[in-house]
Amino acid sequence: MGLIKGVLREELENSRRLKSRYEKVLKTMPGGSMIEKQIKGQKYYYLAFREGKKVRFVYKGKKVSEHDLAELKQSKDLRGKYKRMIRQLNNRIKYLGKVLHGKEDV
Amino acid sequence: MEKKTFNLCFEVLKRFEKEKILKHVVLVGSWCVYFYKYYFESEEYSTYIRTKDMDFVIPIPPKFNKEIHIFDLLKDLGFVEEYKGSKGYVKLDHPDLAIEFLVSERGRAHDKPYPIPQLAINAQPLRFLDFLVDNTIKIKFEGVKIILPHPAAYALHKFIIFKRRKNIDKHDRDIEGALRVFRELVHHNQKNEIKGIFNKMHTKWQKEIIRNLKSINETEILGILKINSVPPSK
Repeated sequence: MGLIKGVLREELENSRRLKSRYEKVLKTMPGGSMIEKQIKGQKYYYLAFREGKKVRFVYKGKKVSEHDLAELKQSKDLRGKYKRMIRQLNNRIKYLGKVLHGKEDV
Repeated sequence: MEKKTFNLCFEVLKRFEKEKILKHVVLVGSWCVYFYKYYFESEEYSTYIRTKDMDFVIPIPPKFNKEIHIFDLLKDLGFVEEYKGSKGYVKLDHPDLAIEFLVSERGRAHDKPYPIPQLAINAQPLRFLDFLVDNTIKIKFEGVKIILPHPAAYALHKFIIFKRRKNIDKHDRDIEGALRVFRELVHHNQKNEIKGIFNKMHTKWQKEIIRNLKSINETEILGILKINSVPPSK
């Protein structure tokens, strides 16, 4: 039983460590979506993102390069993936916590 | 092993193959136990493994002919880059898989990472890896060619290192995996190959293996290792 508990404890520690790593990386990644606004027939691009309860729009210019758009899309996909990983790790942490301590939650 | 873990491992191998990384690295660790089924081609051989660690040894000097940023190659799969310990060995971590790169430690023991600029990583130097790199086999799985240590080298290496493990689970897993591979080799009449590889080892290591096997009462294996030397047939 001691061996199994040791394995589960190690897995719990790894999951917690990895979760905090994903959270740290997420904070450094550019988020938001590129929004196109039409003002007096002219197109303007803004990066829209949430900051607390507010949605902020940051002006990016009249044109946005394909490279910037691709980078933003890649970052968005990755953020989604990392968020899924965090959810998966939360479930794992919750489960392992219950198995090891009976009642510990995230 | 869960299917998603295997699928992720295979995806990593496919990407390494596509970028011509796989032909210059040796897959070591518990995944070998699984992939040996393509070497033994035996239905009785159990491929069960319980690991998330996927370790690659990079033979020194590295022979990669182009620069590949390993993390960029794998990040869309959900890997994050971690720097292990205070020395900064690179580890690519994922809830289902952890990839590490190792090199053979030579000379005096030290804990400095070995930079592999071609892959934009720092590898971890460890003892006894030369022996695995010098005795390899190639298997083909779904079109991917993987270099593995010869099963005899794998088992003998584990018989050296299990005693050095601080983690009791890893200690037990080392013994169990090594015994499974070793028995399969015996089942396939490869006692000569085992003995041939054993004889190529440094005397100090041979003594350590014998001492370690005595400590777990593996008299059958000790008997095989002590038979008169016959050159390997392969």
